[in-house]
This record gives sequence, C-alpha cells and structure tokens, in this order.
Amino acid sequence: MTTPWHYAQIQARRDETFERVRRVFRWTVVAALAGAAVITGVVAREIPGRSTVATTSNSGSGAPATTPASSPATSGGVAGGGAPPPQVTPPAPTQSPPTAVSGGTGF
Amino acid sequence: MGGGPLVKTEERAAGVTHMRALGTKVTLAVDHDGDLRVAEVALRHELAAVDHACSRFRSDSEIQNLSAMGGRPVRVSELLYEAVSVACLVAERTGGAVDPTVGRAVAALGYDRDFAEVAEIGEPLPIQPVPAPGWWLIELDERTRSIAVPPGVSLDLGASAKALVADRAACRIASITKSGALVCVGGDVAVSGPPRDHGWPVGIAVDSSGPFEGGPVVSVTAGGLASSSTAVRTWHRGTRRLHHIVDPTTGDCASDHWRLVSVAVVSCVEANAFSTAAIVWGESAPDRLATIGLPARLVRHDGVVSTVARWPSEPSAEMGSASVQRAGGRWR
Repeated sequence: MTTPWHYAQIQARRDETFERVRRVFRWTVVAALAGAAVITGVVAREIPGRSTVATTSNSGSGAPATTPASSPATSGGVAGGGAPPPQVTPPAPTQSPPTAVSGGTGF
Repeated sequence: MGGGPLVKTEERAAGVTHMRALGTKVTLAVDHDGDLRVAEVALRHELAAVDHACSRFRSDSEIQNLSAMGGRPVRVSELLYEAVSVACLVAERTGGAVDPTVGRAVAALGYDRDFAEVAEIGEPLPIQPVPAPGWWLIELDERTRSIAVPPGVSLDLGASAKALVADRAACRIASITKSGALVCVGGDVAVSGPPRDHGWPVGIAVDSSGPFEGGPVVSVTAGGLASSSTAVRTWHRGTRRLHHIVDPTTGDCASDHWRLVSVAVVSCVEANAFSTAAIVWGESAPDRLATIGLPARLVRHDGVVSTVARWPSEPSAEMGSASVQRAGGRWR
C-alpha cells in the first residue's frame, strides 16, 4: 500500500526529472540558435551577392528595387539607401567677390 | 593644365589658383596661401587619376577597357570602383534621373569626343535616341573589386566624376594642410576643412568657365554646391539645338524647362546629382527638391527664378523677372 510519504517521494523525483529535461531543452535551443547564427555569418561572408533594398524615390523609369551590393566609401559621395541627406548649413547671401563660380560646365 | 597666378581675396590671405583639366576649368582655393603649392600637387594628382580611370574619351582609360570586356567582370582600381559605385548610388537616389549607362545615348546625340572637338553645327542626327539600358545592369563585386558591364552598355560618369574629384581633392587637401579648402571642377564646388569665418564666396552663373559678370554670390561653409545648365555645352544637328544633359528614359536631351539649377548639400556629388536630376525632372523639380529639403535655386529660360528650401530668396530675380520661394519639406 502506497503511503502519502511515497507520493511525496515520487513527486519530488518527477519534478527533478522535469527540471533536468527543461535544462537540456534550454541548452539545446541556445546551441541551435548559436549554430544558425554562425552558419548564416559564414554563408554571408563567403557567398556575397547583390542585396535588395527598397528605394526611397519613385523612379517611374522601371528600375527594380535593387542596388549594387557595395556602398561607396567616398570622401564625399551620397548618403546611402533611404537615409535622409545630412543637413548642411545652407548658402547665405554675401557681398564678397566670388572665389569660384558655380554654373554649367563650360570649356 | 597650367597653374595660374596667386590671387589674394579681399577678406583673408587665401591662396587661389586656376587650371584646366577634364576638359574644363578648375579652381583651387586654400585658407593660407602658403599651403597652395602642396594643395595644387594633391589636386593635380587627383585630377590625373580620375582622368585615367573615368574618361570616356581616352582610349587608354580604365572605363573604356571595362566597356570593351563584353560583360566579363574586370578587376578595377579603387578609384574607378568608387566612381562607378557612386554613379550607381546617384542613379538610385535620383530615381534613375541621373544614370551612368547613358554613354551610348550621349554619343548618339553627337557628343562622342572631347567637347572641344564636337562640331558646333552638323547634319541632322541619323538615328533615333537610344534610352539608357539602366544602371541596375552593372554588376559590382566589392570582394574582388570587380565590375561587369553588359555587352553594348557604355558608361558615362560625366554627371558624377567631376563632383567626385572635387569632393576627394577638397577632403584630401584639407587633411594635408589642416585648414579650409575649396575645389571647383567645371562649376561643381566642394568645400572641406575648418569653416572660414564667413564661408567661401561662390558666384552663380550660367557658364562657370568664363569671368564672373554679376549675379548672386553666396557663401558656402561646408559640403558641396553644384550647378547644371542646359545653356552651355550645346551644339546643333540639323535644326535641333542639343545639350549635354540626357534624360535616361528617352535617351534624348532633357527638357529645356530650366536654364540653370544650383543645389547646395552635404557633398558635391550629391549636389551635382540633384542639380542634374532637376533638369531632367523639368517642371516638377522645385516640388521634388522641396520634398527632399535640398536648398536649391532654379532659373527658367524666361528668367524666372525659384528658390527652394533654405536657399536665400532673391528680392529681385535674375533678369528682372519674378522670384518664387518654396518652403522646404521633410525627407520621405
């Protein structure tokens, strides 16, 4: 005949087993996520290609929403992707004689 | 190219010199005239490198070799890779209004050699305009620094290479001299380094290569200021008057709606991109520029001036016509 003491003992052993299974499960999930991240990184580095990004402007020219994979590392260049252009102090009127002339490209 | 005399500006002992390169006029200004010699050496180096990499009129240029490879990837110099990447980014940012694959279209219009050698008057064009194939056909591989251009596609970096060299040179000179520098290549102005007290005064004119004969003068403290015009670099074929700004969607000259568009923004490349795009956009350009929030000045062929965003408004517009001010909008 099973006593309440027996019940308590069985319950404790069951809880302990559940806890062990939970721990194993947690580590399995962590390991799987880490493995997926490593594999993704390796693939992305070893097999580079064209990236598809949404363009910000409405071309109306039939251009697909793709852009060359690389961004130019230019000293001036243009802001990439859909980023707003960085603000710069706008030109101000001046009475000084010009140092240079901005206009159409003549000879 | 030939160096010019040093000119002292009235405000401060800046060094200024002029030279010719890339088929146009180049101006260099530095904060201290003692830095001018070293700055000029750096500028000439950049100009020569861009000419060798990007000229579509030199048989030995890298870009000519690229177009002749029949679509095979070619490993290119860092400079050409940067120039083509920037050109593609410009095309993307302007929604294809400024496209580096217009090479054949420009040549078909008669601009197939250095502009000084293009006949001013000629027979009517024998063929219909050729639309640009599209910048998205260019394959860039950053890992191998190679570019593949499909057969039959000819690149023309004229819309961005001059601005790029202005940005690069101004940045390099400021870095070497640790002081402010201005570089102007064919009317595309880049400013770099510590800002001057009142900025660099830059005149706005239809033709940047001649002497400044009056017009608005604005001070620029940083970034770029570029202008595009349909009134210069023009030629005639039959009864048609042609100019050098091509609409990629048609392959024909862009609309004549604007005579001159000037844009000021964070870099000369970007300023040039949007001043050229504004010519292509035609009548809708002020609204588009205002939406982006770019300070700009647009002059119609009848002389009416529109200013956009924070470009200083003009009390009396050029040639006595009315002036229109549009408020800047938010970038969307």
